[in-house]
Amino acid sequence: MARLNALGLSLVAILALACEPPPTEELLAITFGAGAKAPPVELDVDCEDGGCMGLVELEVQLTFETHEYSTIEAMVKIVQYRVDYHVGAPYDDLEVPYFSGNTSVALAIGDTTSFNIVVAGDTQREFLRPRIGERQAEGRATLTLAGYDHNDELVMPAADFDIFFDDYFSGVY
Amino acid sequence: MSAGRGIERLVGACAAIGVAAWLGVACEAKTEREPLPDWREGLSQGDAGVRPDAFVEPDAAVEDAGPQDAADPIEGFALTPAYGLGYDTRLSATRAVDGECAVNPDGTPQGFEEKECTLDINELDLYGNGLDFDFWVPEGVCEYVIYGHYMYEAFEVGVGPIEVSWDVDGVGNVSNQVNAVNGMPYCEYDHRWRDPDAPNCCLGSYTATITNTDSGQVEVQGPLFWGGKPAECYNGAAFWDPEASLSEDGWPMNKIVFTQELAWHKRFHWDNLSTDYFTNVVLASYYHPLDHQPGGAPAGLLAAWAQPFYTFQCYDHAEELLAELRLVVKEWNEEHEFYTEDDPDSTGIEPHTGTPINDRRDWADATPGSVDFIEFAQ
Repeated sequence: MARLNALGLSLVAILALACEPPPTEELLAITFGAGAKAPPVELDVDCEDGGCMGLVELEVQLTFETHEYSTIEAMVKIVQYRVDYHVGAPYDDLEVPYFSGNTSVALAIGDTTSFNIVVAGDTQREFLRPRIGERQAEGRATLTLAGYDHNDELVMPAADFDIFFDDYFSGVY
Repeated sequence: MSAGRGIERLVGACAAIGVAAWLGVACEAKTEREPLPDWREGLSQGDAGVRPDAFVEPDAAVEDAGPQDAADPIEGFALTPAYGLGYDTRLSATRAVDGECAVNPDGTPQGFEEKECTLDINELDLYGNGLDFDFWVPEGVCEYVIYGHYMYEAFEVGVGPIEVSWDVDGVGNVSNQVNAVNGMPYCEYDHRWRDPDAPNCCLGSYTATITNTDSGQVEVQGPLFWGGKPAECYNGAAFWDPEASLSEDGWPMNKIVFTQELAWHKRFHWDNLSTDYFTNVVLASYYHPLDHQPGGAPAGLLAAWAQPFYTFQCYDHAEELLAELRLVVKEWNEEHEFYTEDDPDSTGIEPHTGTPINDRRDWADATPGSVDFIEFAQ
């Protein structure tokens, strides 16, 4: 009898667990815009001949996917982000300083929102200029967002995008 | 170990895990949340311009958040500089004594509050990077937010003459022209007469009387419309806005946001001017009245449909105004003057290049006085 009780309790527990929604982070999907601020991001490593006129911006689309066991009050609030860079060969041993920034995005479950973020700055330029110079390099960058969901659980969704490092020339001035 | 004993142990283990899991679920309680990762190192040398307090854990509950309500940096209905640009801007009340560009309306028409604010930016930052700032709406105040942006009359708009006439003989010679040139109705506000790429800004209608001097026949036509389209004679941030929505006749329309008293935030961004313009006038609305006498303002901003401010308004359901912020964008010719907040229109010659310190024209030098329109010199 005791064994049957234990078995029953176990099944209840397993069923209860099965009805829990997955962690919020698993329901968050990052994609990138298709317009002017879509990847690949171009980071000019030498601004002396122009090319650094625009911000190194990226349009981010964040989707909070629905789940059958999620509460309709589910929300996330993203408050900061980080960008890590992975330069392709032959510069793949470079450890480019990461870039970080704040943002302010609140998103309800089932919704998608778009926002622009700056993804590189002078620190990255100054690091790469003596190492790449006027040559080109391709790479990948990882965007990691950070914030909290409605249960105050930390969420850190991440996604990769392409980035080019080069000495771009601006002919418009 | 027999097969039966093995199943017993498996069941027992499942039960233990199940109970533990069940208790874990049932006893879940609000505990201190895991802190955000410390990514301040990514702000090295401050070049990112990212607000340091972004890394202070926000204390507001997510459940209370509006569409865009996280870590409000300032209290009230407010405009703030955008962070993370990589260069400095300032945004505060135009009168220093007024402090921040923020008001705290109480949600009633009687509690209306307003403020004029100024965004300061160095001239190449504006020309080469564009314009960015943040707009914050607090919770519990605005049912609606309406905003619209600065624009000016680039080509003078006016009403044309109502009578046009000329004589023509049997071989087509034209004479006695009144408000006509070469047998064509002429309006000084139809700027295509001077440049085919200019707009027609001539409004109203006219009657044309054409007399044949050989036959004595008089032909009267009209009323005929001058055909000007005033929206094509205007420019400014309202048009350069990447989110601009134009009416059927080409005017930028104010945006109405149904905020429902929720907190709301928006980052405004205009692209760099360097792709299309020579000056900063398209985004920099600031002018000094003494530079524009006798009218006290550039002609383009004295015009009928001109909007000298970027305007942000808070309304209730019945469109009673609860709060208003009016923003001026001021571009500075020298960094030193920018940081000492001295003279935005400083003049002189750069020691190395021999070119003027004022690299990008603003209203003071684009159209001094209050008569001339900027036209193509934008």
